[in-house]
Amino acid sequence: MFAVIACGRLVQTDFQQVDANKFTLTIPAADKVNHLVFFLTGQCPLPDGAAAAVYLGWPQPPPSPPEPVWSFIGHLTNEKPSAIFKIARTRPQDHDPNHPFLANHFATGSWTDLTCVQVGISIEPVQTVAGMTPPAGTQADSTPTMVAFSQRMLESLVNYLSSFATTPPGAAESYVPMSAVTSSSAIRANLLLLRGGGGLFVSSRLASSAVLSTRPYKLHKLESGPASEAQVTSDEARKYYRDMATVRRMETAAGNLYKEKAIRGFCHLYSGQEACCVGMEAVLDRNDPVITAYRAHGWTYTRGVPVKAVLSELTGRASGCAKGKGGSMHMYNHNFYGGNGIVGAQVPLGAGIAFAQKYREDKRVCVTLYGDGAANQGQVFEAFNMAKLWDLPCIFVCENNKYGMGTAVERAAASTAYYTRGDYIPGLWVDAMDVITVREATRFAKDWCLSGKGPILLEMETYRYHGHSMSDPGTSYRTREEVQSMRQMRDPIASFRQTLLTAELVAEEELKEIDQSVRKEVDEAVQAAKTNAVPDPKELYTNVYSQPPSGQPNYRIRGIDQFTWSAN
Amino acid sequence: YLIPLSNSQYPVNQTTMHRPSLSACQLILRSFGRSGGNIVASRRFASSMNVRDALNSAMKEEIERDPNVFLMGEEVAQYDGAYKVSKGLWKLMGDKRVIDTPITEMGFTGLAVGAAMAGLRPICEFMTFNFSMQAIDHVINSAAKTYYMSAGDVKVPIVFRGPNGAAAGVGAQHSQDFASWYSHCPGLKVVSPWNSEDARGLLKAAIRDNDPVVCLENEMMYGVSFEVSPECESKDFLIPIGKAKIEIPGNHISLISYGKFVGLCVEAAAELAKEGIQCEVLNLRTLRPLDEESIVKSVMKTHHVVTVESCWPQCGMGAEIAARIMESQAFDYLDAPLTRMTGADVPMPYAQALEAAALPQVADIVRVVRRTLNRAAK
Repeated sequence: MFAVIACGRLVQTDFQQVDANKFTLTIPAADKVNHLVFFLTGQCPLPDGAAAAVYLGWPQPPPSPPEPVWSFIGHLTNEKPSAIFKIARTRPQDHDPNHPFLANHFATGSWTDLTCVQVGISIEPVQTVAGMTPPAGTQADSTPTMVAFSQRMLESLVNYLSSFATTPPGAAESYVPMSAVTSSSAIRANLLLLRGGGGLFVSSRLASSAVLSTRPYKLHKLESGPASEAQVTSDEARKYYRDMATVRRMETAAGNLYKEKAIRGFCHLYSGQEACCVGMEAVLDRNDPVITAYRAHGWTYTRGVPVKAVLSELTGRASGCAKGKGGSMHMYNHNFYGGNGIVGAQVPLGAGIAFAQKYREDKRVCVTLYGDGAANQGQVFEAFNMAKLWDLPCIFVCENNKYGMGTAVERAAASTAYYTRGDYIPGLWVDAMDVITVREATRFAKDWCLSGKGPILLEMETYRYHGHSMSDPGTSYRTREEVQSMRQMRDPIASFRQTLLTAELVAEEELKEIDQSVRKEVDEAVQAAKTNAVPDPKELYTNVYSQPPSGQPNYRIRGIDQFTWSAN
Repeated sequence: YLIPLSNSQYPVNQTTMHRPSLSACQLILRSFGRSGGNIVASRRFASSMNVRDALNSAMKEEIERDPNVFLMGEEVAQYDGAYKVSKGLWKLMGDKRVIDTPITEMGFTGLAVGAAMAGLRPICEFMTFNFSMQAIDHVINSAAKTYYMSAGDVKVPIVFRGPNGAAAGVGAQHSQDFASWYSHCPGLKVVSPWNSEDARGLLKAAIRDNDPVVCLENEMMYGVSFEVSPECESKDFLIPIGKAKIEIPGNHISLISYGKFVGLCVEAAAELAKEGIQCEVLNLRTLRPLDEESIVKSVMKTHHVVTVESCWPQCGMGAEIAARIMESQAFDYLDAPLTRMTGADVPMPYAQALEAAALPQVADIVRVVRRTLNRAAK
């Protein structure tokens, strides 16, 4: 009957009926939510003469009892079936951010942390509800939009221009140079406001950069760790958002193509882990080689392979990045060595690539990724040994998504502290659901390697929403609630989106535009992947050797019998 | 030194020790190995060289020639090589070019393959190819298949080399011949030198090749000396990969072999020559790709064929050669079915006589040739 939406999240309709006329619902991680949209779903209207009074109940921090403190914020009626409420200022003031409950990152349904808010809806007579006044600051801004907006735009322009003011020597007051007034960035910043204008999400001012905090790290054999905050420009923010959104949409498209049987064999989706590849790439450049395992589509994209080439490879077309000969697990690009199918094999290979960097005295790092499942492989430790022995500039990265296929980490590893398992190699645990946290960890790691200190190990704690591969529903070894709660509470894209809006780094409108453009790009890529040409039959026999054997320049490759040969 | 054979049965081999007869009109150097020296053709030669020195000089020259080439393996540097094949190289080239690895085949083989993907040209030594089984995933899945899977994006210019097959009394786990395992896989080139010229030319060609090459040597040949031509001593002496060599031409029967067993075929040929049987000894040199053209041509000439190897019979090199002959025009030229002489279908025993019985010996080759030609045993 009722539904509520928090910005950037899925619709919640899971109201529990606690009384004849009362319903409640819990909104997790509401400390990040500024606005809530309530609406009647239309399944059944409110009784005549009744209104739905909406209350918010914030939990009290200890030592108060855990009962929420309710406050009325507004109402819905059949005539006014939807409303938006600003809830940011309804929070209790004495919130302790260091409270132990808040450290519960991976709550699987335990709502005892203080960042949840309860929503209560009580169906009462209209007259009763009309007499209740919500606290100040909960009503959405109702002043005429244009007036308020223009006011804000002018304020923003004045703010912006005054930052350029200088006092020339001998002058009595400050002057603003004309170049600042007429420059394109001044106009652009304010045009963005115009485009993004209207409604609630108007920012009073768009920043060109902001200082964002990183989530805490854990250190192993390190005196100090990465920065606790980082400067992020709006350009960077847009890029990270766009890249993560692209990977997400590309993987969703791949999943759909697989279900349509346009993709065969293996397809391991990266959804949920986007912050890892995007955050790391923010610090790496295209001269730093990367090698990973089979859950590689996200990395293939961030390494410069267009979505069209990734999806075409998955559907086995000639336009695929490996001409359709590699498939999901074998995509390559300059300084991207795949895409490897044998669990753990890529780790010594990565150490070898780092070896080559060192041999040639290139000032580069090699990023070698593996999963929590591969972390128990012997060859991984063999690679660690040689990397440390020979001071190879290798960043080993364990993408710990908590499950090696269907086996939870506790069932596979005697020690799940993967960042410590390099033993003599220093390590860092990273909350990899936040792209800036990942970025700063990578910066730290790259500096470490390039300063000649040898290898370093990063554990990226992350989560995959899909099963291990398309043949695994992903629910036989974990609950749907766990997956749902990760999507709602910890999604890297939604939380980054929220951060950007809160920091007023990027306008809502721009993010919407990015979403639309990403959708268009992926949709076009899907079309191409479905319709482009399959490889020429001759390609069966090509690329076996890079050159024919020196003694057999006309070497032919045999087909399925002695009458079938490659051309030539 | 002819082993007396009864009329009615073929005896079990008496001994594995051979000493080649010193003939005045032949230049043969006494060897320390069990396979005996070679019988040389009548050319005049510049000098003699043993197989160890041939491999050593090949590696030295290639490392000097190309800054991307380096050697890595267990004990290759400061120990001078477990079989002294890399003797002196570390002292000359240093830590960067000759690298001792920990005893972690899977790890260092993967590392070497990764280095090759990134553009270096490693020589990855296996102390014996028996230990390559721990690393075989990297040889096949990481090295052999990558150029194909990447549709030509990623080359893997690596050489895997080391002793292959049986030595002397080293037991079951240290005596396997991997010729058929590696030559099974597309993406690899597989060579197996017999004498010093083969060793120099094939290893140099392997190092200069841009694809992964497996070079199967034999420990028992390392100490054996051969005359080598002046061309062989040139720094750019290369033997083409994929071409077999007729060591001894003949008209009556083709003896096809590789590695150490070419030497046994040569000895058997000498013995059979005394009774007027002319064996053509074909040294395959390359196992993948096989020089089918030379095989077919030889069999069309001689109409009889025996293959000799130390792989086990099932799915061995002889089986492949038999199939190729069946599929080719040489089939119509056969006067007798092919015989493949192989290792016995057992893990290698330790006791000397048992070990000798587990592998083809010269006397066995002689016997089989006579049988193929329908000659009575002498």
